[in-house]
Amino acid sequence: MKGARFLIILLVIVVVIGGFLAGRYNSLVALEERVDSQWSQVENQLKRRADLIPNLVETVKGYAAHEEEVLTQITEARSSFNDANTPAEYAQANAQFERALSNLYVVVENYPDLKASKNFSDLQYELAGTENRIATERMRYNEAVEEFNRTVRRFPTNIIASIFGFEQKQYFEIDAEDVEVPEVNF
Amino acid sequence: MKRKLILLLFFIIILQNNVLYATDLNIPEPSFYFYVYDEANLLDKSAEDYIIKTNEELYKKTGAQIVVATISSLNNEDINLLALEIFEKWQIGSREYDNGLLMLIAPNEREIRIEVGYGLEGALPDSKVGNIIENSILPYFRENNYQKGIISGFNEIIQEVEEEYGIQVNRQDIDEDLYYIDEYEETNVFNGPGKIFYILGIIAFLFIDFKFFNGLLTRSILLRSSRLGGSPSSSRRGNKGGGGRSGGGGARGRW
Repeated sequence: MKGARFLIILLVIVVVIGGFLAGRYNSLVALEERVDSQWSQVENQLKRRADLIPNLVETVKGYAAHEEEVLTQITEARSSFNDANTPAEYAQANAQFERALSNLYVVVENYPDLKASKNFSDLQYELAGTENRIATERMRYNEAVEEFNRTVRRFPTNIIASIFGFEQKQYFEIDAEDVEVPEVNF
Repeated sequence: MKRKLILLLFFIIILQNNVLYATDLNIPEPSFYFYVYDEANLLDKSAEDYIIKTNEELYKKTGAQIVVATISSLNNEDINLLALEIFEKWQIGSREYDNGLLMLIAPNEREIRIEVGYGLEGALPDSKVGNIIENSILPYFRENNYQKGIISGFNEIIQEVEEEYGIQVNRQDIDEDLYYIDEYEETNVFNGPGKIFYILGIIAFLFIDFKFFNGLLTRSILLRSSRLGGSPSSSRRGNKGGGGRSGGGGARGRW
């Protein structure tokens, strides 16, 4: 009789703890899902911009064919977009592209016809819009990562996270070189 | 005594959470009629009515919402970010199609941003929006004719949306008697499938509150909401956002 009561209490405890664990586990899964889907939004926008590059190169070529250096920079930035896999690699490709683009804008100043062309101004709008989309989705991605990482680190979820192998996610930081804090030695 | 304390703690946690979510720095609340928020006073009554009326018809037909907002100051914030934050808070466009659009004008900083919801990006790609700003809006703004610029841009946008959905919004004869009549009432919390839970929750709350705390919590909540100005009387009817989202698409301009 006493044994049976003990078993029931044990069972209740197991069920309660099990339910608690399952709840935490499920919320981790949901948070991770959000991070992943938000990352694919970031990737979409980065790809979208990479797809604008050939058009941009063609348009500039039409007016400024001998500005090969800038055009090569931009084409190179595109190929590093295509090779990128991790957020850090994407961030690097992104920085490369931004440098190339600002060089291009300097060059464009010498070609009023190019500047005034409808094609180029449309491309500028598309590039600026895509820039802003990247910034938006990046912000949302980083928010999702922050929430996920916080949950993974926090007790008691951290125990469940380590049991099931949830690891902290990478932020998507634009222009990694700028963000890096230089080491100071005294 | 112990039980009372636990319950009290529980409610304090709930209340604090609500307070945390309710504070949104610097992002204005949508106006009562939703489609026009004219903080900078650039529009007269007839222009506002026109925008509201056109939108009400558009919303009934397509779920799309084209909101015009003017603000007196950007408070040093980037207009792109502010437009995004307003869009997120107001939830412009329908939830199913994300077909909202926000035209945000900051006359003192001489900046304009048109933020396009996900669902209208096809009808209004960034280059088209950029051209609308440059060709239909800014020429008027440069002459300080803000109302004309806003209406002209608004009409261009409506036209693109009409084309996208293959519909025609009646913009010529606006029926004065139909103004502001909409099925969305102020007290929308109690409509819809979740209302039974709201009511049960409130009853449970009141029961516990009055049983254990002599109604202390209820009184403090009432006090708090009356201090915030309360809500407009429930006999008036307004509009609200449909739950749409945007992803940073659109264009900006300066003059």
